[in-house]
Amino acid sequence: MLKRFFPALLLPLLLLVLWETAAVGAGNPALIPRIESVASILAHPGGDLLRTGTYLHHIAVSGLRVIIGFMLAAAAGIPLGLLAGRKLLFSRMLTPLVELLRPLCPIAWIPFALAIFRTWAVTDIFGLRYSSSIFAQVQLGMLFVIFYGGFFPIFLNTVDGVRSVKNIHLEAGMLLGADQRQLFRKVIFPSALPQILTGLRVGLGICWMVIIAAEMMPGSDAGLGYLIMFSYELAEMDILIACMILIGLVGTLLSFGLKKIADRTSFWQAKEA
Amino acid sequence: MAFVRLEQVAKSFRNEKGQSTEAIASLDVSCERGELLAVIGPTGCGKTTLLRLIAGLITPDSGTVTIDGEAVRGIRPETTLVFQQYSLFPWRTVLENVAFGPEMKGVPGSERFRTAREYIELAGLAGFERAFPHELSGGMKQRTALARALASEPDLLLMDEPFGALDERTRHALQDQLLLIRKRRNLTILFVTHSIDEALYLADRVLVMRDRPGSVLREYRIELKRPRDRRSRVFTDLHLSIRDRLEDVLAGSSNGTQRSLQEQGSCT
Repeated sequence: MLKRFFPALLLPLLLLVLWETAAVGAGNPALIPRIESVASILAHPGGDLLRTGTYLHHIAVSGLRVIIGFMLAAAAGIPLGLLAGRKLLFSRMLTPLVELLRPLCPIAWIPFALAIFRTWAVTDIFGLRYSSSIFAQVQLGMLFVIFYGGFFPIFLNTVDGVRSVKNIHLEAGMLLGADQRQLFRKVIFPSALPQILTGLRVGLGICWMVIIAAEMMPGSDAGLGYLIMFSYELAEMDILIACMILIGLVGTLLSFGLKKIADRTSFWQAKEA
Repeated sequence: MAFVRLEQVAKSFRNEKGQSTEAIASLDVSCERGELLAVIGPTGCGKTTLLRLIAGLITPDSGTVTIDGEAVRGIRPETTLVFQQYSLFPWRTVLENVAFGPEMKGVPGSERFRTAREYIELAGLAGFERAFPHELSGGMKQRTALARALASEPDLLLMDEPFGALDERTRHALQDQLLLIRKRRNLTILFVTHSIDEALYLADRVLVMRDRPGSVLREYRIELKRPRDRRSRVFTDLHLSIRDRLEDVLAGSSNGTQRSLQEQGSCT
């Protein structure tokens, strides 16, 4: 046990020691806070931070934005990817546009999205202008940039997954009596599934990064990205660092969760040689 | 009237540069219902092309392919093919793989698994229903492929060097299994191989093909009783005779110079 974990823990421990030494040396919590003050913030999930609510509330707001935007990206990326991977016509239609837009970083779209969508939230579409529900925090502009960030890896991996279906599996399927529809559902889709899931995992990671940046923009008044920016403005370095840790933790958790699901469905892939 | 009949069939393939190679030319093959026909020949003789034509995966440039009196147009539900490489669906268990054919026909769950179990048993795979292909040995994989092909209840079974990648003992075991299955089901089998021994052990008739372009060089009717004794005089004599024939083909097609053994390894 010790042999295995000691090398892994060595550098993080060193980092903590350096941090604490620097904090004590600086003697200025607005520059480098002590570990204890950051840990105490993290240890009190119910505590109100800077009169903006608890960090759990901010995580929920960021999480909801990401989940909705990500689901929209998947709902568009997977079907379009399946079509483009299978039908040359769709591939010819979509590929140039995708290659044109993909290198454009989603964060570069944030000002544009703000200009077009202002601060309208999902609830506004349904005429609930002053709703106090958490959905009032889900701004259309943010959904747009999250969608944009998640779409490309999901789409491109789906296309690739469909294209790498083995010819021998297609022929075996046809010879065993599968029609075009069955071939798609019973051979092409399961064969491409591991790579579709890889696309989803990469896409979710990008969505999470994009939302933090989007929340730092004006017009936002909740979410981890907002909280980190607000604590910077008030020189509350302990909250700022606590936010960084939370952003990292949530990102890791999201990635880990999807990997668990992916491993379950792609167990055959690595072993099939 | 022969069950499977190819008349004056020709097929060429184009490579990326646009050059065309004649895979087979003026090929005549016929196979009776219930017959086990083995096709043997050197690399590039169009053995696999022959099977793919009969399976309806490709269409001939000229000539006709008929099965049971009807011209082959695309895939025919009663024809199935066991591939040379492992063609099992790696995301399905043995049971689900074997049940694939009935599933495509819309047979309900419990019934198609009952059918699948029957063929799993017939192929000597009982106890491996829940295993995934990556957990199986090469021989087990080909047994599964055979069971899967049989579960779709074909009347014509095409086999493309199905035991080529297996070690000798496993290969012999699977050959016996195939003969056993054939005895129980009314099947016509067209078997492509590069092993003279395998052809002689299994077939009612052996076609020896020549290459570039592929056509039938000679036909042997094997009237030995089963189970056949590989060490019997007749068997070894036939073996030698076919081997000489194949060597003539190889010598002839490369202007008298003997081709390396490596080159005649397999025919795809």
